[in-house]
Amino acid sequence: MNDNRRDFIKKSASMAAMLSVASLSSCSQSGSDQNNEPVADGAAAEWPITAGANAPKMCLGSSPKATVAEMRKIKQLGVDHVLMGGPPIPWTEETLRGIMDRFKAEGLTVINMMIGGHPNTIYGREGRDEEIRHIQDSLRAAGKVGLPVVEYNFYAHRLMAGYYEVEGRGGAGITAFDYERAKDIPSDPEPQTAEMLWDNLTYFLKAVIPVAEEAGVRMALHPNDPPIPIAHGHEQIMARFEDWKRLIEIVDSPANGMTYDCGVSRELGEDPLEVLRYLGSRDRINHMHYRNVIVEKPYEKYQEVFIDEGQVNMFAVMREVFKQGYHFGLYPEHPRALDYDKEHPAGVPDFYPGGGGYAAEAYNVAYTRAMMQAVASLDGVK
Amino acid sequence: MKDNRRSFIKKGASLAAALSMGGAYAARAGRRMPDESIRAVARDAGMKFALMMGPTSPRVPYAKQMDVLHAVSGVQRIAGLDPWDPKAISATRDSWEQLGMKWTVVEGPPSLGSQTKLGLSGRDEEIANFITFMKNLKQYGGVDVICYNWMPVISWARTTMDAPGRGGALVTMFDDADIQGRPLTEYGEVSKETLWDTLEYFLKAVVPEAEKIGMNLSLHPDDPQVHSIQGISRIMNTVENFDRMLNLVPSKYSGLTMCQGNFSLMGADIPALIRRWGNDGKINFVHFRNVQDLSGVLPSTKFTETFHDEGQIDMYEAMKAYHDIGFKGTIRPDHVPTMAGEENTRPGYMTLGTLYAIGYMRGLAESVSKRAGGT
Repeated sequence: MNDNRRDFIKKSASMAAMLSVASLSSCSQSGSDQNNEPVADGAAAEWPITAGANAPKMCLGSSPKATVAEMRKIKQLGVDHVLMGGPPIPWTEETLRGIMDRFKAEGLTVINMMIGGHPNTIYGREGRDEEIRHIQDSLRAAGKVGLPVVEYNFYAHRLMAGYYEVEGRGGAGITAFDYERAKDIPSDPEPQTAEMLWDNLTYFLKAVIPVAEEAGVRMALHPNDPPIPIAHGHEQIMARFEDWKRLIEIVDSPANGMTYDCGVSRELGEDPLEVLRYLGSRDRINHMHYRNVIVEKPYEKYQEVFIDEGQVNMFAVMREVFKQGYHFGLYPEHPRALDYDKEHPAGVPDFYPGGGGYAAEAYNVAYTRAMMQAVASLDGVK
Repeated sequence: MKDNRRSFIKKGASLAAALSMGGAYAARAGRRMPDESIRAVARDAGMKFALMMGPTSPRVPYAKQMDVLHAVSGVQRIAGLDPWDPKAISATRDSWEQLGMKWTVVEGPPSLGSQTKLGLSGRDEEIANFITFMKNLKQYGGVDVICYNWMPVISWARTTMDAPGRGGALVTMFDDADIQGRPLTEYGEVSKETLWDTLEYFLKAVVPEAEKIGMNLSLHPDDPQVHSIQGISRIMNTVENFDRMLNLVPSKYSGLTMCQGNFSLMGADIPALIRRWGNDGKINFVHFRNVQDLSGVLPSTKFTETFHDEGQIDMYEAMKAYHDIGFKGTIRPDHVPTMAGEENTRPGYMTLGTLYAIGYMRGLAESVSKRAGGT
């Protein structure tokens, strides 16, 4: 177990080069004059396909406190980037560096941290200026340690009650959502209207985006998911394509971007490619979720299905992502509940009904890797 | 948990545009829904994704959750019955049907052993039973592919079962140097000529019978593809020898198993070889597998298994080649690494690596079948 993996890869790369020379002569000896050479699809990338600086970076979620064994589980999947919830604000260089260095030691780069702890900002209450100062300090720290993306949410209350599990193929768990199941739950005490939230978001963005820009950090606002109009009495402002268009105009900067989610886009009844082109051509996609859905009623009733069986054309999405030269995180999220995970202790994190664990992630990551290699082969990497 | 998924999907398609909610959220109501379902192209590029397993294997439920609905399976053992008995074969077929899966390939058929491969007395009886097996398998099992090999006595061999791979996953490895000096087997030295003779004898006996019933004989390359192990020669270890084999008794029903790993370790350009043999109609069954040579010689004397997405074979070009030759047969992932949390009880065939392999194959198959449409 003491082989140096880096050496191994180097060696194998040179062996592979030797072999491909040998294989040419071997093939002609065997009389392969009947080969029907494939019609070239374009400037294909050479195997082995390595993700260049301008390719998307597949990532998985991790805990900042992950053990070495947990980090290696991610590495085994061929994933070199992770995202996680950040520490309590204000972040410091020292704390961030401590976390990122631990991952670096196992060959993992932290590409995105979720920032939170700003309820007063969302509600427009007293105390928001202190929260915003903490977030500004956090962004400066992120910039200093080279954390490229900071993700955040801006909703008053997430409607988790609408999620339930249904049985998918072979009895695997599917995450379904139905607004009917949760629309009548009582309102929270301080219901936020859309205009209140827009005002509060605008106040926030005008304060933090210039700081992010200066720090060289990009912010990614996660869309409302579920994208229903009202959750616990609060209106939601990141639940429609129009909302996303409005967001990026509040402060005109690539630092003021979004998490593009092809699944959520489809949950709205939108064409995920159209959304991708709109946001991507304006350089506002700073993080990305790669998942699939089957929608019965836009916004209100849908199922988060296996990545290979939904209404989103995952190949077309990946092709467009490469075409745009998108190079931040690409997260194949929301794995399905497979028996393997259910049968293993702590195999399924207790979060989404019908959600899965490591085995299901292995399946999703491999499917996503295949899509990435196929697109790189077909179109090359920008 | 009682929701009917199939009807949900149907409803999802037809009711997709219906929307009762008022206000700005109704904006999408009259809009044409972008139906970009992958059902627009053939699932798995029209190929039959399969796992090697028996009907009682714990892999069966996992296979169904991965939407892998074809089985590479032996005949169920039933006390008092030979595996070529119609009752044993029918029972196996019934078991698969009850599981909602289709049995498409037998790999490692019964009654094809050392007698036949070494040319010992008793081979005619073995061959007669093999022919009976073929006929009954087709008639009672509905299976028309048999994957066999020409490795007598010592079959699949590895010298390390737990070499460190990516992220500390465990992979199998073979190094010819590790088995030098091992004693001869009880069969002494077995020459390549002997193996060619016995192979020809076998093919002459069975291919005409296979032709009568439509059974696709599919010879698997030697694994490892070295020239000999403990005095027993190997002949199915070069591409040239496979071409020679195909010409011994030329027939539509005498073909091969495209085991990518071994042919690559012989030095073949796998996508080109798939196209050549595929266009000749010789590929009946596929082991979709990746490897890395570590010897620098051909055929390789030292190599390691890898995850499907690393290794020396261009897997996208390989999948594209199957699609382009119109391959619609059975394809299964072969050896996979043993991953975190797994006991290495069946090296090469543990669950997590298999899930990874199927996800990878599915992504490639979807890509190659969609690439032509430009989407």
